[in-house]
Amino acid sequence: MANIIIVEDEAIVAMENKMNLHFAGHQIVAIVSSAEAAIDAFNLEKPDLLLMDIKLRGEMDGIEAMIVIRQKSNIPVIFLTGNSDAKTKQRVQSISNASYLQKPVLTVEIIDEVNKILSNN
Amino acid sequence: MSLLLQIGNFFLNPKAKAAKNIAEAKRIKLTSQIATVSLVIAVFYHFVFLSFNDIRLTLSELVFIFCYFLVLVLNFVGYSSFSKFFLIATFYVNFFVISAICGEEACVHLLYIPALTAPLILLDFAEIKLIVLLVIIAFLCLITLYILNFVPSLTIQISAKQMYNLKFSFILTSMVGQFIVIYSMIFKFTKTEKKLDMNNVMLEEQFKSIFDTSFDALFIVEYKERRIIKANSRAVELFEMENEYDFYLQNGLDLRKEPIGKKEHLSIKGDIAVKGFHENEVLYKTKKGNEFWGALAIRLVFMNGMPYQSVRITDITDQKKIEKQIQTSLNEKEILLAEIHHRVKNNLAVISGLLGLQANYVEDEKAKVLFEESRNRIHSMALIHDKLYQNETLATINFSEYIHDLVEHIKKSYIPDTWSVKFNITCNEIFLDIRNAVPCGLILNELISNSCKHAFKDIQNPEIKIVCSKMGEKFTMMVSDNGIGFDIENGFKRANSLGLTLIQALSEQLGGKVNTTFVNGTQFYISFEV
Repeated sequence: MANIIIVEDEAIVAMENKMNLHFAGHQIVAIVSSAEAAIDAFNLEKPDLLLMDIKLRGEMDGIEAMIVIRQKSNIPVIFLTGNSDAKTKQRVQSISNASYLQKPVLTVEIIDEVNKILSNN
Repeated sequence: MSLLLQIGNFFLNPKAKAAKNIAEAKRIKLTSQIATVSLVIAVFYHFVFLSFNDIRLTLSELVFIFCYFLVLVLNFVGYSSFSKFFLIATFYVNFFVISAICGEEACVHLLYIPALTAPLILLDFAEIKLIVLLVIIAFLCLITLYILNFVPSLTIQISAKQMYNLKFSFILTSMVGQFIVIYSMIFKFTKTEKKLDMNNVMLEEQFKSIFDTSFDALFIVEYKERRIIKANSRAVELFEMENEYDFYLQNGLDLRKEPIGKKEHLSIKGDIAVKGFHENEVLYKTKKGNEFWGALAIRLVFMNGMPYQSVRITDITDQKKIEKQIQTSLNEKEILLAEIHHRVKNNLAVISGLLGLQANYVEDEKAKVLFEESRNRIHSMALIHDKLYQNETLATINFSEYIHDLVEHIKKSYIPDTWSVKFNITCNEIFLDIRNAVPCGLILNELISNSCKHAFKDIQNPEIKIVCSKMGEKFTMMVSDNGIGFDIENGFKRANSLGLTLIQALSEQLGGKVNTTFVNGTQFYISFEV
């Protein structure tokens, strides 16, 4: 079991992910919808993994939030996004200990990826 | 005399007035006038010779009358160059023959004096070689006459009084001829020069008015050194100069804001060599340091045989601003369209999420499967919006890439890790718009899903083949499996499956023709116009 923060500005998508991860035996410690809130939640909850959307509410995006978080921790992150363009992929690759899933994503894909990352870490 | 000159004008070709220049028109006119005077004089002498009862003189003069008349006819029909030469030649032969018969005492050879100067007024000085040749021929005729001593054996025998009268009339004729030549040279050519000067002044004024009132900046530039030797008022205004002298001897390339690149330099040279002109858009700087965009046009021209560049610069700054506004607007619309595709895709993700949430509250496993199938259909559409968002044109998707991505997604949905289905995809780079891509993607999703779910029960080495091709405007897609075989057409008739109903409805929407065969599995073909 792992403590996970979901960073997602679409409430329905966040809810679905929370439910699926909960059924898979994980604990969702926070659901936030902006990069700033994600940084605050990370500092507060000290999770084991971040499930991060890239396009978020506010000025910062998910990748920028991870750049800030990386200064403090090498926590694993799974980026979930509808942005599948080359530039976004390149930016994701610049973040260490990160993987990428493209929305809409299957439940089984998220759970498999979460389990894979947690076992690696 | 004036009457004779007027008669001469009657034989003038109407086209002579439109001769290439005034001087040439004048020479053509003079040829006609001199030929008329010569014709009348020749007729006069013909009657004089008749009184001598000398058949040689009479007949020869008759021939020369015909020759002078022929000159008029030639001039009239437009052979002006030949008529001038023919007139001078007729003079020389006429005087030679009559001199030989009448003898030195008759002083016919004095007529060579005006005849010698005739080429000077009838021919262009550009034809100096011909003039010199004709003068030499005239001298040769005279020398020949003196060498032969005017052929005494041919000389007519007439009384002293008749000879005196003949001598008197030929001296008079020679003087009249000389008078005509001098008159033509002094008075007529002075007039021509004046007319030419006036014409040049007029042409210069016309050129100046066109050059200076042009809406574009115009320059005459040295071909090699590219130094400006002439600029118009608009150029002064456009480049914010004090006057046109500010441009003089300045290198035309120095007017540019940025130095010319080697590539453009070669392009200008190449264009002028091949097409004779070069066109480009260039950013210029003014004397006061301001900038403007100019449409540059360079053309090679020749003045006095020397090559120059005729340069035109049109101010297109406003046009460029509008172009930039249009481009900005277009970029904004592209961003907006990309955002819409992204939004649609996100909304589809939300719908998929809602179905996923709902499925968690459903106990019935069959119902859960139906939810999952619906989510896959949504995903097949969302994938198209993702591809549209990625594509530069935002209007079409690379269907080959789409098939590969869709297959990967379906594999995750329906094919467990313990089971292996081989996918064989053959599809060139085919671009489809959203109108065709969405139904086509949904059909593909249903066919692959059906094969995965139903076709491979107890089948060794299951395989699904997808082949797409586009010939002209016709798109064809074939999806086949090596499974147990399924009669899709009968399935259509029964229509008790949503998947088959969707395939049928979407095929009709595409206006496609559907065929199925059952050879070692099921083969589904659809073709439609794109």
